[in-house]
Amino acid sequence: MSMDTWVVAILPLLVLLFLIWIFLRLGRNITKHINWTKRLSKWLLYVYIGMLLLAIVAYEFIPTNGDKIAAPKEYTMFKNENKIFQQAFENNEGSKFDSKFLVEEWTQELVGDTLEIISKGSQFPTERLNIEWTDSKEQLVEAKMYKTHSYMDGINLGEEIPLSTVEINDNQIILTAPSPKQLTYYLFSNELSVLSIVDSLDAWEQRRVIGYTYIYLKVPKHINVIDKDGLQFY
Amino acid sequence: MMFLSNSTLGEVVWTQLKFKMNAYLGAVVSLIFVQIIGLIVSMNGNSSTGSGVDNTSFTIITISSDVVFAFVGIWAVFVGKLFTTKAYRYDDFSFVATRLSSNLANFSVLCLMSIFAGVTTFLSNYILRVVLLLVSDVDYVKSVSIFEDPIGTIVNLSIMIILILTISAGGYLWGMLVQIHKAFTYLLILLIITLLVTKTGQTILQYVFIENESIVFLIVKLIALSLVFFLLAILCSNRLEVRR
Repeated sequence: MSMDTWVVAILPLLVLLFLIWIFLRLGRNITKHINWTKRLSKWLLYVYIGMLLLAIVAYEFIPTNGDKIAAPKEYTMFKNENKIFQQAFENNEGSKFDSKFLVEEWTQELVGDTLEIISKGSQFPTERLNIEWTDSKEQLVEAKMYKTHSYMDGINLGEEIPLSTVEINDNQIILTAPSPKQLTYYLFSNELSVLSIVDSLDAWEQRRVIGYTYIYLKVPKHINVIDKDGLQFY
Repeated sequence: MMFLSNSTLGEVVWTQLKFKMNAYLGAVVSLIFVQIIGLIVSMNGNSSTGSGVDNTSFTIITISSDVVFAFVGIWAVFVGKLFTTKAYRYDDFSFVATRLSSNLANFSVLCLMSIFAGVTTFLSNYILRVVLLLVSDVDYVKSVSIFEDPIGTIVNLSIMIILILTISAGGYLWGMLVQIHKAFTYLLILLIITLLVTKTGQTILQYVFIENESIVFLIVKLIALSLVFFLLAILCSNRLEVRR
């Protein structure tokens, strides 16, 4: 982080410090008019400490969403698996696809010699599509949907992201993107982020794996594929 | 000269410490209020990260003790400064004491208060965790707790305690300087701004707080800084006038 960025980062803190100072001054003026007995102060102290201890115990019993993946090496493993799949997908090496990423598969007997691929529901295609051309003389088309690992801060996003739907008609494959969804999570930290800002940015990148939805088609060479939305991965 | 009873420095400091811990209970109560205000301000989160894939966008709001700590930091400055005010210094004349024993007692009280402030600041995050999870309908990610990471807890707790101690020691030194000359009230603010704006100041701050090979270095630096502040404060107190 450069010096200038550091100064800019600290400016809001200065504003905050000024506000706290105002708060403290106001507080002092108000408490001047309250007669705190020592007994009351001690009780207040005990109640506050009791609440803190109770909160630690209560927190342990609140059910969580998502499992924390503590070791960065697990994220590294996920990233590697995603990378290997992506490379195999780009190189049309269907045999190298990891079967654990397979979500669904279909086969369809086409009516004519044309296959139209249509994408719906999103301005930008949410799926990546690739075609493996076969020497078959039949009209049979195979379609497989894969989804690679997606994890962020311990949440298995793969479970949270709705899948695209695939509809295969006589000579059409219609891919419909999932409806837009907004998910918000709380992540609690014991650390002071002010002191670990440089590390935390790296650590955040380490805790983030984003996977994609892949559609892999096996189409006989004599079939003419119409891909108006440019879904095909060249 | 002969006296009926001879007290050692340790005994005098201990007597003063006991008295001060009782007398300054109000400062601890004010700490609770400061933390509660900090907790309320923290409810929106300290930072958030987002990402989007397949028409789904994710936002992860990180809740840490940073804001509460900032509030407690300011409290620490003012508590340190408060101990140097005439009203508080004159309390020491109720005892047969020296300036050194008074300073040592104040140092001990600040240490104890820093421990209390550090521990409660750290734990206050758990109040926030429970309140947010019960009140809000936002899901949450399994986050590290005290029981899951005891070593991390001790390290973070130590940093908070020592930081608060350093800040209160700075406040104590500031208070002593102000007692010598009122101009120091504004000179400190000027010094902070200078540290933030000038290249040398930024280098110093970076050296102390950011460029640390390990957390142990940071802790050692902060302890050394606290001791320097206290020693300077003791030297300054020797220049103060006696009670008239």
